[in-house]
Amino acid sequence: MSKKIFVPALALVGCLSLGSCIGDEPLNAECDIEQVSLSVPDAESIFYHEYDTMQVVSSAVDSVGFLIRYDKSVGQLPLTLKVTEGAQAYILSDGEFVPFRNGQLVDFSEEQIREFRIVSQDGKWARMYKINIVHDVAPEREHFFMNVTFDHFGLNSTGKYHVWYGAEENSISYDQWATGNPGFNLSKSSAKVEEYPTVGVAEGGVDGGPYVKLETRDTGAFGRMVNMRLAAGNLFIGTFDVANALKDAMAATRFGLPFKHKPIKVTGWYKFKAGEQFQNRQGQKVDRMDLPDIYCVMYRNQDSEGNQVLLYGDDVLSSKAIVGLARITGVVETDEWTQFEMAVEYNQELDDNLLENNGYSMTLSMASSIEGASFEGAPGSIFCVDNVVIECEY
Amino acid sequence: MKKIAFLFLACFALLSATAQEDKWKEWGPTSPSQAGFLVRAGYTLGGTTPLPLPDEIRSINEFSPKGGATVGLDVYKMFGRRWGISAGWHFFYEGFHTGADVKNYKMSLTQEGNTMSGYFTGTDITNTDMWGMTMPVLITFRFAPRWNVSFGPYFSTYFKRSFKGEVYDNKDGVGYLRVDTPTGEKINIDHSNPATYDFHDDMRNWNGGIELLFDWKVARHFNAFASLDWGLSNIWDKGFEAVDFRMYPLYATVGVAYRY
Repeated sequence: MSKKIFVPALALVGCLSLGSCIGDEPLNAECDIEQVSLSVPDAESIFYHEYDTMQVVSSAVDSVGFLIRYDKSVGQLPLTLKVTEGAQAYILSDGEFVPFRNGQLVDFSEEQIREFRIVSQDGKWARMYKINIVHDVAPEREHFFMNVTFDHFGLNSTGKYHVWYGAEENSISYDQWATGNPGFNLSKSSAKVEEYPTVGVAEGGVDGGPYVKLETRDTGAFGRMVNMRLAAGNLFIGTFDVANALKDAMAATRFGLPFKHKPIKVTGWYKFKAGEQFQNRQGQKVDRMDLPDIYCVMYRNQDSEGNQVLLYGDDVLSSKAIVGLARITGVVETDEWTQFEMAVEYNQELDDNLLENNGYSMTLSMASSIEGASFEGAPGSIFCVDNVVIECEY
Repeated sequence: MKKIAFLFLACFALLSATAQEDKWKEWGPTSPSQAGFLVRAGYTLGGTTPLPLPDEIRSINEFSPKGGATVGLDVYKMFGRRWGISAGWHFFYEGFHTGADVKNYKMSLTQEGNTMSGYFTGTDITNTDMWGMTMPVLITFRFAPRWNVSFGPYFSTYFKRSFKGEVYDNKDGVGYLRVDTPTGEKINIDHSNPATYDFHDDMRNWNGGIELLFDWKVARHFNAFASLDWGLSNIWDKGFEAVDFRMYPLYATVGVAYRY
């Protein structure tokens, strides 16, 4: 019996029984900016809300933009970054990264983009971030049509799926469209671009050009592992927080962005084909025909205590904050482009002062399965949408 | 008088040597051919463990062997008083349950051609069961009349095996995967909707290792024994990446044997 083997063997038995072989804790490998805040006295005069000076940064995001009033400007502001424990932040200054300390004055004048590099505690990983402060567009109090042509899409940073840009005519000023594609990417890494639930199609729209194709897709083995067996194609104004895609899918869809106009009517074109078999969340067959959904919601984005209000998957159609709502009805299966029209019904008058001060948010949302947010629907349901127009009274 | 005393002492020494000689004989093989067999039955405890424990494993909160069993037959042959060999054929069931807190635990899951990989921080629960057959070939050294120690290689094959588990948040509510690298998207996972896994398809259906066995002869036909089986081959198939480190079975057995 060799001592060489016998000694570790005994040590192992010790390990298993006592758990005494736990090594030193590895240093943190993550290097995120988790939160960015600006110190601004009288914030509401430059920004719209007090809370506009602080942003929680999603792990998937590497650029942070703050929005100030169109007629205001900023210079040097004290900046505070909350980074992963133990990580070190550096700021690009005169062509090189120098250590950044919280509270340091950072020049944000002229909408300049400031670059940061965060290095993990273990020194092995780093992330680059961009932070800037941009001006809002000047409000225009005139009747107008916001045309959503779905013409502006491209591949995401990893080249896996389509993303849409806010380059619509008369659009709100920053990236506005979100989809659940980042969530689907987790479950079906092998999917090709055109196999995602939300896909931009270059030709064949109602005017011959691009349109958006939403299709309810099976999420495969990984989807079953987390009891999310299907993913409806969706496209909406807002953000998709992939961090919560598994934990709380309803909270992952954050609807709406501030909007300075009063939508009154939404029109557009669609084609629809229901998938063959409707299933519930457990994957059991249900005798029901699948239907798509489109709605437009206008809501008050701040509560009486000044806290930000966001609508999520579970309250976007039921929240008390909703002031106006339009929802499609009477969808039929059709392979011809068919027009729809829906009026925005208001439960109160909009406050013009609030409207000008970004006090309302608007979302337009469409999905290939009406119960898709609850992972119910019929895989194979296809909903194509093109040339949506949001008509605004002013 | 002195002579008598000397004679007495000499007789005594002779007698005790004879007694010692008798003990080796009395507790030796029961058959004149110095060969025989043992029928063993034992209770098995143990688990499958990475060796050494990687630093990514921060604590083992639960470790409860489910309690296995083994029954089998050994044949042996002694060459003289001290040395011998044996070969066995044992059937076993082994299982364990562990719960560990991990930090930046590299993992990669592949299901139906889709891969999800990254670094997980949180709680990992594992349940394993293995049914199989093991064949040890041991050299025996009899270091006292009633004590044998045996040592040698073994080879196991599994009829059925499972390696299932789930990952979710730890007691501080921290449970997330960083996709692909520690800078990738952060996906929160909690106990209300854990991510489950089943790696049985990725396990080898054999294992080789070494066995150390102590036998104590309680009665002429009855032994008590304790053994340690230490697997030296990784339990995972080549190319399996879900778990970033090799894991080895390590099982201890205590039991009784009928000796002939």
